[in-house]
Amino acid sequence: MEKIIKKALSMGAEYCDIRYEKRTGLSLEVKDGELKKAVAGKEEGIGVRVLYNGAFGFFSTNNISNMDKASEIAFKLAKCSKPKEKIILAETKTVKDKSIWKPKRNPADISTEEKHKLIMEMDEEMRNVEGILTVTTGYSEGNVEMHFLSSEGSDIYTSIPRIVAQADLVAKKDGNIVGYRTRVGGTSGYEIFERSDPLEKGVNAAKSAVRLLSAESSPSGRFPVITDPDLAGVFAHEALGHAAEGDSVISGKSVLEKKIGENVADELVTIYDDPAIENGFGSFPYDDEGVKGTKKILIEKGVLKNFILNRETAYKLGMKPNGGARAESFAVRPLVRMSNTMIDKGSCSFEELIEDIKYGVYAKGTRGGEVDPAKGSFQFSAQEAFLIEKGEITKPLKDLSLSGLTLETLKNIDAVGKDVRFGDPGFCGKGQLVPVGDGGPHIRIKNVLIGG
Amino acid sequence: MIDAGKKILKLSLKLGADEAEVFLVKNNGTSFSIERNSVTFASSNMTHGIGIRILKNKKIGFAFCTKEAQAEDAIKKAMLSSKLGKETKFTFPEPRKTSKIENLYDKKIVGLTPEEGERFAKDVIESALDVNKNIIISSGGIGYGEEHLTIVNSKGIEIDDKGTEIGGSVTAVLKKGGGDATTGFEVLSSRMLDIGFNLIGKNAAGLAMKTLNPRKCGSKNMTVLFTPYALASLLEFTTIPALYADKVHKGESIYSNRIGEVVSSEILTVVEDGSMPNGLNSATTDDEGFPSKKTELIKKGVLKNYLYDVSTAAEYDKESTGNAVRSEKWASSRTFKTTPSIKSRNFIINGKTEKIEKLISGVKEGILVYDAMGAHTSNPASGRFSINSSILFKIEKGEIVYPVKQVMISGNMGDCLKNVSGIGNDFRKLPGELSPVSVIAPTVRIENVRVSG
Repeated sequence: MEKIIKKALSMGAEYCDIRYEKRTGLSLEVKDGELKKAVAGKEEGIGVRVLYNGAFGFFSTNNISNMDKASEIAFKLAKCSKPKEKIILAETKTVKDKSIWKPKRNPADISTEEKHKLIMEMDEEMRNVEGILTVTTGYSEGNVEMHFLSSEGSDIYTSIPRIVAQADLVAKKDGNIVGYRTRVGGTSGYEIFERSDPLEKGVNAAKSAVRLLSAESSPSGRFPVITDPDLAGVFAHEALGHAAEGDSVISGKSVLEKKIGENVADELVTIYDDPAIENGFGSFPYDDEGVKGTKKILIEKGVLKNFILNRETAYKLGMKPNGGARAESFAVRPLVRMSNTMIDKGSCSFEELIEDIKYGVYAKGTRGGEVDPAKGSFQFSAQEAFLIEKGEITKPLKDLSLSGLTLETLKNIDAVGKDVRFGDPGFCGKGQLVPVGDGGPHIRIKNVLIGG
Repeated sequence: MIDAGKKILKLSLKLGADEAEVFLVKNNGTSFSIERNSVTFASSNMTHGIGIRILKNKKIGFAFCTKEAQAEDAIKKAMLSSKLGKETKFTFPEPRKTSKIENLYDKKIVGLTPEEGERFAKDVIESALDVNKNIIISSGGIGYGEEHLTIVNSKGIEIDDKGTEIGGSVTAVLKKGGGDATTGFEVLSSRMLDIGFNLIGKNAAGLAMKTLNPRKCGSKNMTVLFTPYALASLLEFTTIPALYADKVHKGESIYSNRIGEVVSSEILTVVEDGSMPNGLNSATTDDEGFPSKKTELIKKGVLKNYLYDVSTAAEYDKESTGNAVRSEKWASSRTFKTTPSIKSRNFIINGKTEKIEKLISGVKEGILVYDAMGAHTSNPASGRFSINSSILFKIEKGEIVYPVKQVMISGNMGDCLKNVSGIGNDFRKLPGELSPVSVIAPTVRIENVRVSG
C-alpha cells in the first residue's frame, strides 16, 4: 500500500490516501416462521484518492490484483477533473493509532443457530399479538476493519463491529392495513440485546401496529406538536443536520450558509452531532480521512455554532476539520456525513409539555423523512400519533406526516423535555448509505404543518 | 467468465450440493461529480463478485465472495446456512428460449475516455449557465459504465450477458436577493450513448427559473397532475411493491385476491417489461436466468397479474414473470451479495394518452407537481402516502398561473389510480431512487387529491 502512495507522489500528486477494508458480515431474515434469507460473505478492497493540481481522482476495486494500476487511474482522473476553485485540504494532525472496538460478546463466538433462534422468537411473539398479519424479522452483524494510510504520514487501523435486530410487521383488520418497523442496534456485539431487548421492543411494536388499525385519520393543517425522542432525533438529523453538512453549505444549497453566530433556533435548543457516543449506531473513532471523530455542537442555545466538515469543506469555510468525512465503503469516496445527531435535554417533564395544548398532536417514531436543504424544507412521517385535546392524549391517529421549513420550525420549538434517549438506529441515504443514530428528548413545536 | 462459473458450479456439486447456481458479475464504472458549477470529483470503480446459491435436501443456502479462489469457502458457508431453512418447492429454472434485446450495449460507452466524461459534466454546467448566469448546479453529476454478467446453474442454464449504461442528474439552485431559493432538477439515463447532456443542465435550470416567486395555494381537495418524476417516486414506494406476488399472497397488499377486478381508471394500462429495448433494467434474462418478458399488470383498469420470481411462483403454482432481481433494501443498484427477490424492472404506465396541453386545459383548479419528497415513507401495504412538494405550479381554468410554495399532498395510491382522469404523452424513462426499478411514465392527471398548503 505504501507503494501506491509513493507512486502517486512520484507522478506529481500533492496528496494521496488509501483505505483498505476487510468487511465481513452475516444477515438472516425470517418471515412468518420461515428463514427467507441467510447471507454470509466477506469482501476486501481498496479506495485510493489522489489530489493533483487541486483536483481529486478516485479509484476503487475489490479485486486486489488491480491494485498496481490504482494510483495511475486515480491520478489520470484527477488530472482531467478541473474544479474552478482548487481543492485544498485543511491542516489536520498526523495520526498513528490503532483503535479496535471489541464487542463484549463477539457475534463470531455465537452460533448462527442462536441468532436464528433470536429472530424466530421475535417472529413468534409478535405474531401472537392478535391482529398481526405478517412479520419479517432480521438479524445482521458486520465487522469492518480499516487501514487508513495517507501521504502525510497518518497510519490508522480501526476495527468496528455493528449489530442489528429488527422487525417489519403488517397488521390488518377489515381491509385496513398498517405497517410498522422497529430496530435495535449499535456499534456493539451481542451484548446490546441485554440492554435493549428486541423481543420486548417487537411486541410493543406489534401492539402499536394493532392500535393503529382502529386509529382515525390525522387532521390536516397547522397544529402544535409534541414529538417523542425518536422523532425529535429524526428532526435534528433531517431538518438541521443535512443543512449543516459542509458540502451543502459550500455548494450553495443550505439555508444555514453564512449564518454562523446567528440565532437560528429558540434559545431552548441545543443540537449536536457526536461520533464518540459509546455504542451509537453512527459512532466511529476516526473518519474516512483519518480525522478523529469528535463532538460538534451545531446549535448552542439557539445560536448556530458549527458545521459538519471534512478537510476540503473546512478549508473552504475557514474552519477546522471535525471528523465528518464518511464513506459507505472502500468502493466510494468519503462525503460529509452525520454520525449520531442529538437534541440536548431541556427541563420540562412530559406533563409540562402537554398541559397547555388545547388541540394538537403527539407524534412518535418515524417511517423516514427527506429534506431539501436549499429551501430548508423537510418532510417526515410519524410511525404512530395521538390527538391531544385539552392537555390530554385522547385517541390514536394514523398516517401522520409533518412538514415545514427548518428555520421556522427551529424557532417554533417552545419547550424541551428532560428525557433524552436514542431513537431507533437508522441508515442515512445521500447517494451512499451510512449507519446513523439520532435522538433527543420530547420536544414541543408550537406550529407544524400536518397532513394525513 | 462462463468457464469460471462452470468450474464453481462443478465444485458446488462435488462438495455435496444437490443443485447449484453461480452468479458472476464484473462492473466497471466512471463518474464525475458536480458541485457549485464545477467538476469536483472524478471516480472509477471495478467490482468483481460471485454469488453462490445451492439446494441441499430441498433447502436453500447462499454465500458470496469476490474471487474464484474463495469459492470453496463460500460454498461451504452456503451449505451450512441451508441447514437453518425450511424445505421448499423451489428448484432452479431450466434453460428456456431467450431472445436478443436491442440497444442494451453500446461499445461507444465502453470506449469513453475520462476526458470525454469530464466534457459531458461540463456540458451540463454550461447549458445551465446559458439559461441564467446566476444558476448554481449545486449537486449531481454524470456517470457511465459496463456490466458483464454470467449465470450458470445445474439445470443447464448458461447466460453470458453484457450491458452498458450512461446517465446524469443534477439539482439547480437559483437564489434571490432575500436568501429565498428555488430549485430545479433533471435526470436522464440510457443504455446507449444517445443522451443530450446539455438538456440535463438546461431543463434543471429552466425549472428553477420557472418556480421563482412562488405563492401559497391553501388547503383543499383538487386535481393534481403528477409529472413523470413525481409519479415515478410515488409508484416506486406504493403501487409497484403492492404487485409483488410474495406480498400479495401474504395479504400484505391492496391488490391481494383481486385479479380480474377493476382497480384503476379504465383509461389506464400498466405493463412490466424486462425485455424492453434500451430499458434501464432490461437484460436477456432476470438475475436467476429466467427469460425477460412483458407482463400485463393492469389492462384498461382491470388487474391482470402480479410479479413473480421462480421461488414465489413455485410456492403458489404460477410461472415466473422474470422478475428476480438481486438488490439490497433501499439500494438502487444490483449486487452479487444477496439472493434474488421479486422486483419490478421496467414498469410502464400507459393507456389512452393525450397531449399534455389537453390534460392541463381540462383542469378547473389544480396543481402540476414535479417533486415528491418523502415518497419513500409511504406505506406500501396500505397504499397511503404523504409527500412534500416544493417544485409545483397552480393551474386555474385550464392554464398554469403561478408557481406554488411548499405543499403536502396525501392520499391513497390505490384510490388515486381509480381517479386518473387523463394520461399525457410526455413519456420519460427514469431510474429508481431507492430500488433498482425503472419507471416509464408520462404526466398523469388525478382528481380529488388532498393538498395542504
